[in-house]
Amino acid sequence: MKVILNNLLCTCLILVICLSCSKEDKSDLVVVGLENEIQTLNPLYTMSEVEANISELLFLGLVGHDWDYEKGEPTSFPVLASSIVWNNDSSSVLISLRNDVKWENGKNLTADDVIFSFDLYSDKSVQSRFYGTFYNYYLNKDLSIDLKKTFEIINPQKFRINFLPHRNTSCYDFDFPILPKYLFEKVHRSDLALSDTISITSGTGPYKIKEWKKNQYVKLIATSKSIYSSATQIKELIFKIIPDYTSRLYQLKNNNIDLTEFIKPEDVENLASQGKFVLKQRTGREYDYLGLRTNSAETKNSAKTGLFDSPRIRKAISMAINRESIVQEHLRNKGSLMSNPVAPIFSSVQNKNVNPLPFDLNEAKLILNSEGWNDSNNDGYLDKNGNMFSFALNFPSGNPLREYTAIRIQNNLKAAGIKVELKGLEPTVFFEKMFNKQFEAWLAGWSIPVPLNLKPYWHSDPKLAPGNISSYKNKRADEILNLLDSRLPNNVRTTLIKEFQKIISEDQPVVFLFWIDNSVAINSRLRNVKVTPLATIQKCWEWEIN
Amino acid sequence: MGNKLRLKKKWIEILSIFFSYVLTFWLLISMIFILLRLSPGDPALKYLSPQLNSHLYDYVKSSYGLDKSVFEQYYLFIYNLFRGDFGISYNYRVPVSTMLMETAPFTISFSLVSFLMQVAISMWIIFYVHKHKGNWLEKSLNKISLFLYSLPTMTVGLALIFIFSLQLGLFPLADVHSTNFEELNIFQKLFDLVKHLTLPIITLSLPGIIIFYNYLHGNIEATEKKSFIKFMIANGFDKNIVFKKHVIPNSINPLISILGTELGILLGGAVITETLFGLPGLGRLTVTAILTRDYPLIIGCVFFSGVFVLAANFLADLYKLKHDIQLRENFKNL
Repeated sequence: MKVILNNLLCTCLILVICLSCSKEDKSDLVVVGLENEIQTLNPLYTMSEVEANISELLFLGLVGHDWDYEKGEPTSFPVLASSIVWNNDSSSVLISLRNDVKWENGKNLTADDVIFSFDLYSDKSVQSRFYGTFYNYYLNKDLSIDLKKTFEIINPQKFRINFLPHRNTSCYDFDFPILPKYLFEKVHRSDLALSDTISITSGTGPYKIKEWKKNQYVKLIATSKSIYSSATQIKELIFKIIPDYTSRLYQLKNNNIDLTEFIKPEDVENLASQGKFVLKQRTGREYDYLGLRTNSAETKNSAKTGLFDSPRIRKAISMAINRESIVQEHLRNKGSLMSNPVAPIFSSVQNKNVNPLPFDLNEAKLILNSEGWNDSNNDGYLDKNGNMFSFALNFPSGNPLREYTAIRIQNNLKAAGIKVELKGLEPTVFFEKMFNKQFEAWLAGWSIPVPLNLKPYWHSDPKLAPGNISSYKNKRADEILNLLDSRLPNNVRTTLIKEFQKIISEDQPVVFLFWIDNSVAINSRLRNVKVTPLATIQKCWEWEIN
Repeated sequence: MGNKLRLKKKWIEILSIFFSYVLTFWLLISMIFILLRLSPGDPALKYLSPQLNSHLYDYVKSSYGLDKSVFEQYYLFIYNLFRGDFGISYNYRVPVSTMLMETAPFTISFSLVSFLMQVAISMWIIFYVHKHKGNWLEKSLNKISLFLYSLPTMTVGLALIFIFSLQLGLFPLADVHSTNFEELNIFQKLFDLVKHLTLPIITLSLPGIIIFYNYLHGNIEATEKKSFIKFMIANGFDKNIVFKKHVIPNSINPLISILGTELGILLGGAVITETLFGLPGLGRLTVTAILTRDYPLIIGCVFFSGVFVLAANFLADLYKLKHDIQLRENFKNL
C-alpha cells in the first residue's frame, strides 16, 4: 500500500511538472552570443568594439556611420543632429540638434549635454577611453578640451565646434555618444567609473538595460521614446556571454542563440549547408603579421641584435613563407594575402600596383646568400661570421591560427636554412612583453581603425605610435604620416596613401601575412542584419524577425 | 573541578585547531598576493593600445595603486582586508564584494547539491551492491571506476552535451534557466532549473561518486571483517540491521576526513563546469579574473574559496575530535 501511494504521488508530481512546462516564446526576442565578457556599457569606458556597439544602442551620438562599398570608405549621417554645416576650410562645424530628442526626465537634449559629454570624455580625472585623443581640438595643458575656444553656443539647440586650423577634420571628430548632463553631473568625475548611472536610466537610444548579470548576459529592452523606436523593432535583445567556442556553436545550432561572430573556417561550410543560417563575412578589419625587430638598438632581450635590420633580409623571410597555403588550408580561403596595412576595403586609396610578395624559396635563398648568409658547415642552416641564422618566434598560446602559422613559418624557414625556435606564451604575458619591445620576432595581429589611421602604427616616434612595435623608421613614411594629419585635397591624400603603401611594402617592417575574415552566422529567422566592415552589432533597431 | 578542567582542555583543543586554520588562511592569501605581484602580466594592459593615449595607461595604473611598492600594496591590502574591503574589480569597476555576492551563492548551492548527490548516489550504490553481492554492477564498477574517475570534467561535459542535448534534445545546452524564466509559474521554474542543471550536476558529481563509492566500499569490506561484526552475525543478529547500524556508521568516519578535500575538488571542477555550461558562478568569475589579471577579484575569489574549503576542513576536524578516540588521545598527550 505504501509503495503504491509513493508511486502515485511521484506520478502526480511528474505530471504536474510536465504539464506546467512551456516552450520558450522567442517571437520578439533575439539572442546574440558573445565570446568576451561585457565589462561596462558606460560609453566613457567601453574598451572593446562590442561594448562600444552595445552602448551606442543605449546612447546615440550626433552622427552615425555606414560603409560605402562603391567608394570604399565610411560615410556619416546625422543622428541626434538635424543638420551639420561645415565652413569652407572644415575648421568649424555648425550643428543643429533635433528638437524631438528627450531624456528620461522629459527634458530636451541641448547643446549643454553635448558640451558636457565632450568635457567628460576629455577629462583626465574621468579616465575615459577617449582621453588624449582629441587631436583636432583646442586643448588645455592636461589634454582636456578647451571649451571656451572650441564650443560656441548659438541657442540651446544649435552650437558650433571650432577645430584647430588646417587639420583633417571629419564627422568622426564628434561621433561620441551623448550623455545626460542632469544625471552624470551628480556623480563626482573621478567616481564615474564606479557609478551605475547607465544601468538605471535610459539614454537617447532605442534600447535600455533591463537586466545585467555580470559574466552571464545583458538584457536590453526596447524603449518607445527614441527617434529610432518603431513598432517593428525587436522588443528584447539578449547579449549572452559564452566564452567556450564549442558551446557557442552548439547553442547556435540548437537555436539558443541567433547570431554569433568569429565562426571557425572549418565550421562555415557545415553551418551554411544546414539551410537555417546565413553566413556573412566581415572582411578587411584584422590582419596577422610576423613582427621582426627592425631597429636592433631597441632589442632588450636578445644578444643577436641586428638580425632583421636589413629590409632585404625581411623581404627574403617574407618570400620564404608560404602564406597562401595557410590561407587555403587553415583559413579555408576566409581571408586573403596582404602586401601592406591598408585594407582592400579602402578601395578608393588602394594602390593596386603593390602586390603581396610571392612565395619563392629560391629567390629568398639567393637574397640571403647575397647578404652574406651561407651554409658554410653543411648543417642545413645558414651562418655568417660563425653565427647561425636562428631566432625565437614568440606567439600567444590558445590561438589555433597563430599556433598553426608559427609551425608553418618554422617549417618554411627551415627549408630556407633559418632555425626558428617556437615560444608560446600566455596572452597577457605575451602582449605585455610585446608592448615592452622585448621580442626579436613575434606573431601578432592588428585591427584596422576606421577611418584609416596609419600614424599610431608606423610613425617612428614611439610617443605618436605605440603600435610601432618593430621600431620601424623611414623618413619619407614619417613625412607622409604627418602630412595626412593636415587638411589636404582628396587626390593628394590618395596619392600620399598610395606612396606610403609602396614604401612600406618595399621596407617590409613586418612580414604582412594575411587579412582574416570574420565569419558571422545569423539564424535565418533574423532579417536586416547588416554586416559591414564597421561592425556586426549595429543598427539593431532595424533587425526584424521572420 | 574535573569537569571544568576537561571543558577548558576541550576549548584549548578547538582554539588551537582554529588558530592553525587562521594561520593557514593568512599564508594562503599572502602567498596569492605575492605570487600575483611576481607573476608576469599587466592588469592595465588593455589600456595599452595604438588607439589610446599612452598617458591613459599611466593614470589607470596609478589609480589601481600599482605604481606603489609591493610592500606598500601589501600593507594596504591587509589593512583593507581587516576592514572587510576587498577593493574594486579592475575589469568590472564594481566592489569585489558585490561580484562575490552575485556569484558565490550559485557556486555554493551548486557544489552542495553536487556533494549531496555524490553522497546519496554512492550510498545507494553501496546498499545495492551489498544487497546483490557479486552482481554486474559491483563487477563493472570495480573495473571501470578508475576509468570514470580519470575522465576529465571537460570531456564528460562535452560528451553529455553531445548525447543528451544535441542528439536527443532532452536537456538545454547551457545556462541556469531559460530566457523567459521570470514569466514561468513556480512548477515551471522548478522544472526549468532541474532541466538546466541536470547535466552540469552529473558532470560535476561523477568523479566524486566514484571516490565516495571506492572509499566506502573499501571501508565496509574492512569493517565487515572486524571481530565485533562477525560476533554479532554469529549471534544471529539480522544482517541488514548489522549493516545499517554498525557497518555503515563505522565505515563512514574516515570519509569525513576527505570532506574538505572533496569540497576543494568540487570548486576546481566547478570552474570547468560553469564555463562549459555557461553558469553564473564563482568558478567562471575566477577564470575571467585570472586571465585578465584582475588582482582584487582574484584575491576575493581565492579568499572566498579558501574560507569555504578551510571551514569544511575545520568542521570535519571538530567532528573527528568528537568522534575519533585516537585523535582525542593524541590531543590530550600534547
